[in-house]
Amino acid sequence: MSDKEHRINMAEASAREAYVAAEYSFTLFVAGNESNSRAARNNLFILCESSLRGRCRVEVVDVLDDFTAAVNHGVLVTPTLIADHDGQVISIIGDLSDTAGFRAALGIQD
Amino acid sequence: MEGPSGNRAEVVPIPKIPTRVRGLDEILMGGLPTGRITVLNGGPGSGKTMLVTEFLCRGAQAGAPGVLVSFEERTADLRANADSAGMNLTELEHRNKLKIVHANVPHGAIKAGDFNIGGLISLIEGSLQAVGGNRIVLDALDVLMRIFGDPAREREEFYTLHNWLRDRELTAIVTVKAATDRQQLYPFLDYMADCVISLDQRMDGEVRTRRLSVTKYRGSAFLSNEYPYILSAAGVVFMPVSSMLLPDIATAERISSGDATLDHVLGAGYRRASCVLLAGPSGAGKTLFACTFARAAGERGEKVLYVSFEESSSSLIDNVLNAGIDLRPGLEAGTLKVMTALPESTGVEQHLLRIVDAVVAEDPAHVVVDAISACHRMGSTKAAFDFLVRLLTACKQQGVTCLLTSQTAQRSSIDDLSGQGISSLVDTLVSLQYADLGTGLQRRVLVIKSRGSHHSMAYHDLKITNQGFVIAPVPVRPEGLQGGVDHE
Repeated sequence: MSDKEHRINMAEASAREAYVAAEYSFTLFVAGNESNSRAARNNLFILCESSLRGRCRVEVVDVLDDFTAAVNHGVLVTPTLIADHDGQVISIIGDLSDTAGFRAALGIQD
Repeated sequence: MEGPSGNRAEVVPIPKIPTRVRGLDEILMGGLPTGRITVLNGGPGSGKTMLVTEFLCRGAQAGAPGVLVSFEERTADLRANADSAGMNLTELEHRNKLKIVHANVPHGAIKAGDFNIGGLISLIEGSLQAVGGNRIVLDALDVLMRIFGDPAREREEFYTLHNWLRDRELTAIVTVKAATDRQQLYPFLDYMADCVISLDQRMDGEVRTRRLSVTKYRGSAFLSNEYPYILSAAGVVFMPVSSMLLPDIATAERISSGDATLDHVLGAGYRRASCVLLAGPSGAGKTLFACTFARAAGERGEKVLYVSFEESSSSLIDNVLNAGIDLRPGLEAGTLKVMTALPESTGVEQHLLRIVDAVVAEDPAHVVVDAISACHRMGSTKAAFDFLVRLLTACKQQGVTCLLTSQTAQRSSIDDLSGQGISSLVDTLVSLQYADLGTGLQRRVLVIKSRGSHHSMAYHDLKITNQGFVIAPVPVRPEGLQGGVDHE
């Protein structure tokens, strides 16, 4: 498992990435490099760096590479973020540009 | 055809995929456009899901796998509903010929910015690859599109999907609910799609009727009327297109009415494959005439399908047995088949399908409908008329004689006698009535018309005995002659 775990890096944020800690576990479904998907990746990275450093795990799934992921998870719109916070699962759709709404949904204070 | 310049001016028909839904491919003149998008509009309960399920199911059975993405109904419900229409989806899924996906629209999801339907496209691609098919149905796509909450964004996403489906050359059906009566939720979809089909459900009298119409078919001709259909235990069934081409195959061959005197009064009996109407008030002897005919046909070894809208099989048999007509040997020999139905029980289309199916299955020489006046109770007058025209058309096409009875008021005009305005379809019209002699009532029979026959134009007295009916071979004398009537 540990070889799959490494610090997220802006330069390689396009594929599947994961954080070490797991207070927050995120799975972000994106559709290639399409603008909403790109924005969502960036916005999620910024949140993790600014407020959740060391407390979250991120996996990015590109549904255009992995068709079975969309089928298995029933992902219809992209970007879709599945957030697991201490066992409570919520889904957030959109490019996460609504930072305040996104943080409020996750219960994160500034 | 060769033009003057020698160039061929040919119309290249566009490729089509048969739907294999009974009767639909005739309306679509071959089926749905291959590699293109069809939009199916319709209100709740109009049968959109049943129709698209059947399209995929029949295609899969014939070797063309497909995928159904449902944005509304759950897979278990879809399977159960299909089961009730004789389609076993589970078996096709096991054979990997069909994939059913319940797409759970994230209504409850928190929205944090803009999004698009990349996930859906991936889901379609993945599902089609899993079965190796190129037929896709998106059922109730409006349910997904509503999460955009913005008409401009919905439209953009419809275009994205449309372009992707076209690039992939998939044969797609998109079903969308009609917003209100005959109003479309997304009018621009009709411009986008290559084929547009609308389903409509309405109440006709007390009875629900469903109609399909094709409003657009790019690159193809199609039948442009409204076509009734039913959701039956055998899937969606479209009714035979009514009477555009009525083959006149009533032959010159004569068949006996079952009574020698009546045959004589008629000219020489009935004509095979013609339509005979026996009209008269209650108790005038219509059913007895019909059963006499049925018994005689059975004795000749010809099969009769007797549709009784008035009484049960056993009470029909008992009643005519009291009048000396024994139908039991025919029932035992299989030359007589009695079908009973309550007119109120279902709509016109269901009745028609049942009878037409029985005509096809039993292959009778003759059909008796006792009585067509009951057809009014299936719905409106128009529904009753539609029913009769379509039944007579179906029977004529099969070369089956139709003997109809119709209950009329005591004093009726000839138009009333021919019942539901079907007089042009009736070849022989026999009126049974009571004459008031002052001292009592006398039964009489009058042949009002019988095409191609030298029939009696006079009233003949009629008696009903316990040996069947007896007709006086000699006409009743004119009314003015007092005491001249022979009514012993």
